[in-house]
Amino acid sequence: MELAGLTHMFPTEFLDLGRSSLEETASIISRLDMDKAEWSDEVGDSLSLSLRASEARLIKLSPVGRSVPVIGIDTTNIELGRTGRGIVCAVRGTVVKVEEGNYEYIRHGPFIFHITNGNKQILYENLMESFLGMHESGASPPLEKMTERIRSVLERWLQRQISLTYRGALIIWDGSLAAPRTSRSLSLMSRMLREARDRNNTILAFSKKTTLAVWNGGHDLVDNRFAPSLLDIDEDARLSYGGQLCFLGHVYAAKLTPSNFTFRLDVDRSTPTSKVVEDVQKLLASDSLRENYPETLCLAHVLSKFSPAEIIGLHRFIGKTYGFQVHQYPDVRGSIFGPFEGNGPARGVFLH
Amino acid sequence: MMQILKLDGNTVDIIACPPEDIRKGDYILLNDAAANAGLIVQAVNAGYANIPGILEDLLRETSTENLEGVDMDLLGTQSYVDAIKNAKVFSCKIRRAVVDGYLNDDQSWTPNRSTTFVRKLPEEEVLGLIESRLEEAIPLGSFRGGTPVSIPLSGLDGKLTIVTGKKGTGKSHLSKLLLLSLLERGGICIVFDVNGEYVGLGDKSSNGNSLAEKVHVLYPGENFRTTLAYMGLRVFLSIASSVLDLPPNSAWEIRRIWSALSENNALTLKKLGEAMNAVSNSYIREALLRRYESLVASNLFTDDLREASTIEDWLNKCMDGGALIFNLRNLGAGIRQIVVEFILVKLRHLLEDWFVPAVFLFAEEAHLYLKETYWEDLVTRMRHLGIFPTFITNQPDSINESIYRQADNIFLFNFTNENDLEAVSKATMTDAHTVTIIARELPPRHCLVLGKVVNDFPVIVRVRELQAKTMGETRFFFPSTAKTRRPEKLSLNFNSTAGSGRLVPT
Repeated sequence: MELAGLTHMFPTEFLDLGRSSLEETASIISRLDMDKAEWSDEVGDSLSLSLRASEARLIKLSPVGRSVPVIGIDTTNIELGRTGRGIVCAVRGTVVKVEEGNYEYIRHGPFIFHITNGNKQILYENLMESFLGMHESGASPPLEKMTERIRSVLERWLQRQISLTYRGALIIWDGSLAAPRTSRSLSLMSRMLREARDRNNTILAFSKKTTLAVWNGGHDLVDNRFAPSLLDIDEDARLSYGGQLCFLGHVYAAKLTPSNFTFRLDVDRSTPTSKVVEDVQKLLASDSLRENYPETLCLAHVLSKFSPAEIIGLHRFIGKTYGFQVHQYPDVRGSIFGPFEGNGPARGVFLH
Repeated sequence: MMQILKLDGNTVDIIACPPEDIRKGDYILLNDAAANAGLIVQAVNAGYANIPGILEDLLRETSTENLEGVDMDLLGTQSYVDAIKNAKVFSCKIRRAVVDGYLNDDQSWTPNRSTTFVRKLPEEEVLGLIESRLEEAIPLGSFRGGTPVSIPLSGLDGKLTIVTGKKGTGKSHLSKLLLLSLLERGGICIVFDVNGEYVGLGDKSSNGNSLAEKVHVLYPGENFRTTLAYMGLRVFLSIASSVLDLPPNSAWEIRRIWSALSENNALTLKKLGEAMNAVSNSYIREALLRRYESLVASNLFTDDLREASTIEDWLNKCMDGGALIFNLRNLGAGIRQIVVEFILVKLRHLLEDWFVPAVFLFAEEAHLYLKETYWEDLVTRMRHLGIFPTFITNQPDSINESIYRQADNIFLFNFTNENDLEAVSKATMTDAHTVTIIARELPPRHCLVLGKVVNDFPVIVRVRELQAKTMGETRFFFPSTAKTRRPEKLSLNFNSTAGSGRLVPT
């Protein structure tokens, strides 16, 4: 199925909730004393692993796999500015698919929210329930974390929609398959992995945030001579973080092409190694790699990212549509270090 | 919305977001209502605003080249982003200040950035700046938007005008328009037509040219010949010394011969030749005879009174407005100089005698027949006598810098050559920036008008069509090539976005 055919797949409530928050029509219920447990995927991504390379298991790969659809999903968020009561932010997500060498995308957003201490709880509950089917979402995170959380909801929703739409595809996530043991996201992630398995899809989660270093202090974990290969570092990860994190995926270090980077790759733990090898080989046969990173995911990231010009444009939109005036323009120049990286200080001060 | 971005000397940078349809040459008013004052500025250059991170955007679009997709931007924010990305900065030159509703030359006043309202002046308002409702005017053409533009007659009367531009841009067309407009209003015009381009104006069979009767095409040596007696010794000596480089001692001899023949009522070409042949000093004789042969070769002079006419004869036909077109096309360089010198010296005398009050002189490529020493004389002394020159050239560097400095009006057509632009930019009536940027981009038949005729507000005008036969008669080997080439529709596919790096929107 072409992505263009998925235009019906649209997070309408995302749009509506955002509008409501900007128009201040969302019902405001303050439930700040509720469950303090935070739901965060990011914690599982940010590991620092020191590994003894010789002890780890190297799995050589062959780039001769069968070509299958590969779908990369990424989202991004940006804080557009502060108002007297809260934060105005924008989120956007992109799905990029490659099949038979043809790349296409569908991009959702931007969705704009005005998050205040007054509306963040209801906003959070609505999002979790509407998009992730989580009725007991718990307490919303602090205001500063809400933007990131909204982005995360959009990302999970897109990932799930793709899993439920396609069969026999490789679905590339940005992040890991690990989460804090107390996290409410574990059940969601388990459900999403199961749904993917049921439709013969494979989720490959690439994480840029995990720092991988060999024991002797060398810079790269897997020598370029061994590319393409996977290094099984699951045991190291679990030994280091097993107390705090639940690993729903088997953890590998992936050196898919000779490059300066080795990325952490999590694959559904219930997938046999032989199937993992087969699927990663399919990835090699189906998608390009940019610095060892899947092109689909890279493009999804590039297309999602807010550029400084877009940020100024969004300020203008908010001003014209909702009467917010940016009092102090953001230092957008700060965000141009590196063409596609870093949102920089995009904050303005809105007067409403 | 437009705002002042930067003010630096005579230059104001204006930022427009979303971008407004402002073209080079358009006028913008910076109106500081609080100060009851404003500045009238003219856009001379346009560029994209230096939007932070635009490089990132462009790189992103490049990296997603050939990627088809759908944007589910249901809030419709893209148009706002596009407006930012397309924000323009217009570099403008201050032309005049406005204080209490009146034009003011004091431009030292600085508008308040936050209280100044910036708006494009519509063509009708620009017209109000350059035109006087009280004066008789010549319809010149129209602005880009179609608003008709006229120039006041007073802007040409008594003025030095330069029409310049590269070949084929419309210089001669404009000159003919000015010429016909002047004679329509009773002006007397003299044209030195070096390429035979003006002869068509006298074509009485040409449809719509009601003024053909007023145009007299003169072919020196053919329908325009005169006698030595009419020329007179003063004119003869002037031609002999300035055009034919006659040495002073030979000039004394010719003065003696001429006086003697004149006293005996025998001043004919034949007798003059015989007298020169009889000069005993061989050096002087040879010098005189060589000049004599040049005069004879010009065929301008005749001893047959039936063939002879005078400038006065022809000017008499123009007293209610008319033009004498001297077709110099088929004349050699030396003969051209003799003819022009003869006419100018005669004209000077006629003006000194108030035979005519003044004449408008149209000189095409004057460097081909005017000696350098004559230029200054023409634009200073002769101008005060009543010869109001219009120089038409496609070689701007052929006109002395001092002429540009004294020019009252310049009609500037397209130039692309850097040297040409540099030569024109020396004109003091505007800044070099305006000239070099705007002149380079003028389409055919469009000119930048500078000077008195536009009240010193440079404007771009599309010169109107003329009913008269205005085309020169160019000779072709292949007659089919003589047809004007019409623009053909390009076969480029403007609907394709493939490879453009543009994302496909919903």
